[in-house]
Amino acid sequence: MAPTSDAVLVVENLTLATDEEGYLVNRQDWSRQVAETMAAADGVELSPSHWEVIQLLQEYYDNYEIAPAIRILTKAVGKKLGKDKANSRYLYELYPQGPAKQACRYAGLPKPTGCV
Amino acid sequence: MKIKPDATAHVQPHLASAEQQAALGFPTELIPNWQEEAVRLLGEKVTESRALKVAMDACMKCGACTDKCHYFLGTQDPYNMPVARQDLMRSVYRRHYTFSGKYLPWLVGAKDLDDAMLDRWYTYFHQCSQCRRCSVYCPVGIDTSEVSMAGRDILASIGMGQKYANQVIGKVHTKGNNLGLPQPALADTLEGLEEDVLEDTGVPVRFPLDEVGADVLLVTPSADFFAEPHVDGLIGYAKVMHQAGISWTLSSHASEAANFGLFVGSAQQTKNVALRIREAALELGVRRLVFGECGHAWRVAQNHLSDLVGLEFLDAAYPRPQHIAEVTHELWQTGVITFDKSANASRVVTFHDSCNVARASKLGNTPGGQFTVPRDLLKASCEHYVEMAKPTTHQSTFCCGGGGGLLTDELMELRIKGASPRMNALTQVIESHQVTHMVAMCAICKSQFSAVFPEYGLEFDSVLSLHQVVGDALLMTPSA
Amino acid sequence: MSTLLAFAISVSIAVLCLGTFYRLWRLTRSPITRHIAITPTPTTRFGIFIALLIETVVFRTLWRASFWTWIFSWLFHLCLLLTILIHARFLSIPAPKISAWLMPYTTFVSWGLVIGLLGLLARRLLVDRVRFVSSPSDFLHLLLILTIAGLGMMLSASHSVNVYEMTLFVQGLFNGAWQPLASNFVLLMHVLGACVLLCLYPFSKLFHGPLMWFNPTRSRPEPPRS
Repeated sequence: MAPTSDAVLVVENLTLATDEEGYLVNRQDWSRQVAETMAAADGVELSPSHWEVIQLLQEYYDNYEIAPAIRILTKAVGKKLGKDKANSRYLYELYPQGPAKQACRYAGLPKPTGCV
Repeated sequence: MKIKPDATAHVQPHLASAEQQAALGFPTELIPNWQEEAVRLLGEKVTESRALKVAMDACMKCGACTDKCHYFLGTQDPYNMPVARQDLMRSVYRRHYTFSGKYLPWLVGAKDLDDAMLDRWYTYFHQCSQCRRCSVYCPVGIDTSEVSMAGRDILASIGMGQKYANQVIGKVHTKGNNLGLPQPALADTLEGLEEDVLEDTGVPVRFPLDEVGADVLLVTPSADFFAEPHVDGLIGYAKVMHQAGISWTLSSHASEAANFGLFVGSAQQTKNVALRIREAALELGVRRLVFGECGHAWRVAQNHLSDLVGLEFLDAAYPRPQHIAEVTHELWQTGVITFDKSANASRVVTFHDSCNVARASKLGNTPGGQFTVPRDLLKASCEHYVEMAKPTTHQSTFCCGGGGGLLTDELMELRIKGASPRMNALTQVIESHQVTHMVAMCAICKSQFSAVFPEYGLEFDSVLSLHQVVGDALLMTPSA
Repeated sequence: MSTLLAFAISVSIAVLCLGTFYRLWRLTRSPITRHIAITPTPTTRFGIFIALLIETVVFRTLWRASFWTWIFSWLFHLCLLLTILIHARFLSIPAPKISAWLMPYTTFVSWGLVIGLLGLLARRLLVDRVRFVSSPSDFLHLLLILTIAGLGMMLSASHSVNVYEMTLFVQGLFNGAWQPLASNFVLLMHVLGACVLLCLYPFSKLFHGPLMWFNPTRSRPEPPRS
């Protein structure tokens, strides 16, 4: 049987609760080390571009209690990083598992659900 | 095709948490007398549904369905043969509710609902996307989706709900949609789209939200607000509405077309989710109800919505409800809107029939409209349209591999393998006709293909929304 | 022997009729909760009737699904129907026209029946997908009908049944005036086997034909768009 929610993430002596898919249960637990630990487990090194996206997600979440829709994210990325990066292909290059899901996880936000 | 026993026995969705179960009124953990209760519920369900009764009694094990399920073709796990999936329930039904199963279980393949069987129920009732391709090939028309729906409802009722579906239904009730997109975020998103379209086309196309007195309430999957290529479809609907001069609105209360109550096999949940749509339509005082591109939502809307919640208050001059594709189709046929094919000149498109539109619904007023309406629109708006192989389209279409409540990451192995029959057909036309894009008209299909295309060496954005293609070719009048 | 046979035949026909009636009655009471037609379906009741009739006569769906299963099962069902019609010769003297017309082809029909059954049995044994879902009862149904058919072919080849006597016997069953039959072990087994089959029919998967007519995925016309 699939395990119920008792998974954890260990970050520098701290044991943080996550759900079965590795998303933080408590947003307050998030720190830059959390994102780095998660990324390292995926074999990803977080570049400044990665961090831009994470920061955008968190800012939007603070305002709206949800991750931004892809259009909003690409537009925001475009404003910060240049028009040539205002598209989902660029985001998929950064986050191949899908920007919404992978980046949300690194950002300590819950996974977007539904038909996405 | 040979069988590979237990090939995907390890692929299971996450169980719903105690809170996710409680939110829908289900027990928070496996109840102590689960076996007895499951058997009782099974008896009740079979008595209450002729489709299920026929499924329990009519199968002659002819094997016609055994190589028709995309999950079997992709995994070769024998329990993904529709007859074997049904047998998981049938064998327990026989054991408890038939003379031969009670006294001669070995003779008729009757089995107890023990721990191993419970595990198989949970596994394989969640490896069915309820697409009903098998039913098309069943000589007596047994509907496997009715079996997996009933199985899932029984499982949830004894404390083994599925996380993904339960979580989504919970969010529909608290936030109005599957995503959990709150009203302010929705308003912000729509505002952003108005800016985008104005910038792209120079036409001030509106995306109205909660506008009392609009003619049309458009209910669309929340993925249309959030993801690509879905949002490009939403832009297409808005362009069509704008160009046709239809006054329309979205609703934050019913900001979701999907109805996962169908997937979990619960009539009560289906009704609860559907009720928001009636409430929103009444609140906004609309005359027409139109659904966006979502396969199972259209199945529920077209077949059940009237019975479930009543749509008598809508204008009888239009079908109650309508699908955006049939609205666009009629506007095109009557010359209200026109297309410029050259806008799609660089695209060679093919069309993926979504299971719930193809096999469970209709579009327009002619029989088979669910096949011709989207194709007419594509042929009218594209220079290059190609069909995939016949046994994979129309009524025989293959499921995308992510339908029926299985569009969740922990089932990714199954989703990738289950997509293989469709991918084979697509690869053929890519090789023979240089197809560049596959068009779909279901949020699940679009998300699923975006996710699995890279596994088959295609770009994630090679799947398009029907109304994206239509919208791109739509001739817009620059308005004041 | 004739008493045993007369008794067995009477009981099994009663079970067949009452059982079929009971199953159909239960089915009509079984509620259709939702519209679940596999679209596109015909839009009128007459259209549905025609579609189901075609399905019943030529097994159109099976044809689309699996050629080999179709050829064997259609051959089997067709020859079973012809065999039943040939057996109607025992209802009257002279034999009913349809029986008389078919009688010269009895050997062909019997072999068709057997080949159909053997094909279905082979598929059940040799195709691993079908073997996986087969229970002992699935094999036994085939073996039972094969046995009945084999014994019938023996009777037919050996001319060991007196047609006149048999016809009187059958007529006696209906008149309530039971007539004697010459003792014949093969005949006894053939008829008893058939009696078992008649009793099984309403209470087993053999009842799939009528069930198809009641299946909500097939039996309901598409409602018009309101």
